Amino acid sequence: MEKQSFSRRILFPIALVMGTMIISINAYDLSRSIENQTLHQSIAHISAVLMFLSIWLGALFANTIAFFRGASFGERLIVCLATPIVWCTKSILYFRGFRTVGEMIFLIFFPVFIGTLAVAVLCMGLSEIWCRIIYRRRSEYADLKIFELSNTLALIIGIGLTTLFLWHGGLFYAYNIYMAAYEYIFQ
Amino acid sequence: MKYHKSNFSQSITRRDALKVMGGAALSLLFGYDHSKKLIAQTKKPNVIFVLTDDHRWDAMSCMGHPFLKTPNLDRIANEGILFENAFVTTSLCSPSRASFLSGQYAHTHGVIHNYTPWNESNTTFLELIKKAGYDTAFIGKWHMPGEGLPKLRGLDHFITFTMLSGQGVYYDCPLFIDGVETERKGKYITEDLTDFALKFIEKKRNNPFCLYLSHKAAHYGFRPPKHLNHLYDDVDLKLPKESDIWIPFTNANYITGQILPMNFMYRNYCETLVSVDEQLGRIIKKLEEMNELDNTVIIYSADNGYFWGEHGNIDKRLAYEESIRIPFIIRYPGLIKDPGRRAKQMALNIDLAPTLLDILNVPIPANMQGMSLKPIILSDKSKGRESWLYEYCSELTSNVPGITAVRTENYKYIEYQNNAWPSELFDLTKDPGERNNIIKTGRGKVLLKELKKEMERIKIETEFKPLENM
Repeated sequence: MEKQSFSRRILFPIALVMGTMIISINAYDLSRSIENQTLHQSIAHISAVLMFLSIWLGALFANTIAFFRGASFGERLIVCLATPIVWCTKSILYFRGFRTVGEMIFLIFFPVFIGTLAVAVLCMGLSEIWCRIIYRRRSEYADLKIFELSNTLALIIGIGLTTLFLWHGGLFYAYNIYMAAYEYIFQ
Repeated sequence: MKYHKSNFSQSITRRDALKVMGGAALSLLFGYDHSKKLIAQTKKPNVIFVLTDDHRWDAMSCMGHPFLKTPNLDRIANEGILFENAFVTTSLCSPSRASFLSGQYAHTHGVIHNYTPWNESNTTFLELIKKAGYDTAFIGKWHMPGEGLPKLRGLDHFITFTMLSGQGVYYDCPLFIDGVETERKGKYITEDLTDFALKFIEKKRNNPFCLYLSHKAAHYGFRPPKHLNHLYDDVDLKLPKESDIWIPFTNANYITGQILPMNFMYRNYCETLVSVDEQLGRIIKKLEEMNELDNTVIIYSADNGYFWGEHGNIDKRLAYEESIRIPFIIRYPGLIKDPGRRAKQMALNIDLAPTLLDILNVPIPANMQGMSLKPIILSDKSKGRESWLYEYCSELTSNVPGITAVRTENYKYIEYQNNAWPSELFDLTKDPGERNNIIKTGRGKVLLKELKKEMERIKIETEFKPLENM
C-alpha cells in the first residue's frame, strides 16, 4: 500500500473527525439561543448526533482513511485516539479553577472518559477488519492477514471494556465504584 | 380525645382543671360543636413534615404544571398557604436536609456537601419538639454520611436507608427500622415509607406526634410504581424552550451520573411525583378518619429544585431559580384564617425549624438562623425577609464551582469559587429566566455595590465561612 504524506495519512483523518466534533459542539451550544423551536431542535439533534459520532465512533472513519493512505498501526492508533483524548482533555479542563490538581488527575479515570477511549479502540479493531478484507480483495496482497496480533488485541481490548461498561448497567456500577474511590481518596 | 392524653388519665394540674372548666363554660355559651373547635385550638397540634427530593416548585398542578396532576398537594395548598417564593440556601440533598433540621445555613451546621457527615452536636427541631412532650419519628431518607446511623436525640422511631450512600433505591430498598436492617422485597419505597408513617400516625398514644417523612422520590433514578409506569407516555412533555433530549450527555452534565435522554427522565420524574401525591393522599385520608386532620400541622417541601434543560443544565446546585426554588405548603386551620392564600414573602428551608417551634409555642434557640413564618401565616400583611444568602460547595460529582450568592426580592448576585466563572447579576423582575447578566452595565455596576454590601452584611450576621475552606 502506498504510504501517502504525513498530512494526508495522519492529519487529514484527525482533522476530519476532530473538526466535525468542534463544529458540532459549538453548533449544539448555540442551538439553545435560537428562539425558533423547530430550528433549535433540528440543529440540536443534528449537532448532537454528529458530536456523538465524532467523539465515540470517529475512529471507524478515521482509521479507515488512515489505513488506505498507508498509515502504520501506531499512526492509526494515534489517529483513532486523538479526538477522544482531546475531548476528554477539554472536558477535564472544564473543571479548572474549582478542582485541585489531584482531583483533575483522578477525573481521567471517570468511566465516561475511559469509555470513549475503550469505544475508540473497539471501533479501530472493527475498522481494521473491513479495511483488511477490502484491501485483500482489491489488491494483490491476498495473503494479508485479517487478524494480526496488533489489531486482534485492539479488538479484544475494545470489546472487553465496552462490554464491561454496557452489560447490565455496567457504566453505573463503574460510576459508583469511581465515586467510592473518590470518597476514599479525597474526603 | 382518643389519641391524646385524656384530661383525667393522670393527676390533674391546676391548668388542666382550668381547661376543663373553661371547656364546660364554652359549651354552655356557644354549644358543643363550636366549643369543641375552640378547645381544639388550645391543645397541642400534631406535626407532619413531608420532605421530597428534587421536587421543583412548579411541578404541581396548583402551580400550573401543564399535565402533572397532584390533587392532594393542591388540596393542602387550597386549604393552607402556599409560599410561592420558597428557596433553599444550598441546592444539594445533604446540606439542605441539615438546614431543614437545624434551621441553620450550611456554613453553620457543617454539612457542606453530600460527603460531609452530620455533626451530632447540632440540635434538630425534632429534639426540641420531643422535649415539648411529643412522640417523634423520622421515616425515610436521611442521606448524611457518617459512621453508621447517627445518634439523633429526641427520636422515638428512626427508619431510614443507607444503600447507595443513603440514597436508597425505588424498589426493594432495605431499611434500618430502629437500627435493625430489614429486607423490603417487593416494596416500592414511597409506598413503603408511607405505610410506616401511617402505622406511626394511627398508634394509640397520650401525646401529640411529630412525624418527619422524608421520601426518596423524586430523586434521580426516577422510577414510578408499577401502576403509574407509562402514565404520561402519550403526553406532550412541554420541556422548557431551551431544553433538548441531549443535555444530560453534554456540557459536563454527565459527571453527575444522570446519563439518559432528557425526555425519558422527565416523564419518569413526573410519574414518580404522582406517586408522592397519592401517598400524601393516604396520610390525609388517615388523619380525616382519625378526626385529626385539622389538628395537624402539615408542611410539604423539597430539598431543592431541579433543572430540566434551563441554562443547558440538568440536576441542581447552581443558584438559578429552577435549582433553588422549592414547594413550601403549610396546612393548619388552627392558624390559617385565609386558606388558599399564595404568600409572596420569601421563605427558606432554614425557616422550617423556627416556624414549627413557633407554631407549637416552643422557644426558638438563638442559634437558629431562619425566621419563623408564623407571622406571615397569621397575616398576609406581615413583612418577609428582604434578602438571603445562597451557598454551595463543589464536590467531584458536580460540574459546578463553589457558589456564594445573595438574592433579594428583585435581584440576584452570584459569585463563583476562585472566579472560575464570571460573576453574574440578574434583574429578576425584568429577567426572571436569568438570561441577561447585567453586571457590566451601568445599572449593574450601581446594583453590584449594593448587593455586595448586602452579601457582606448577611455574612457577618451569620458568621459566614467559605464552605470550601471548612
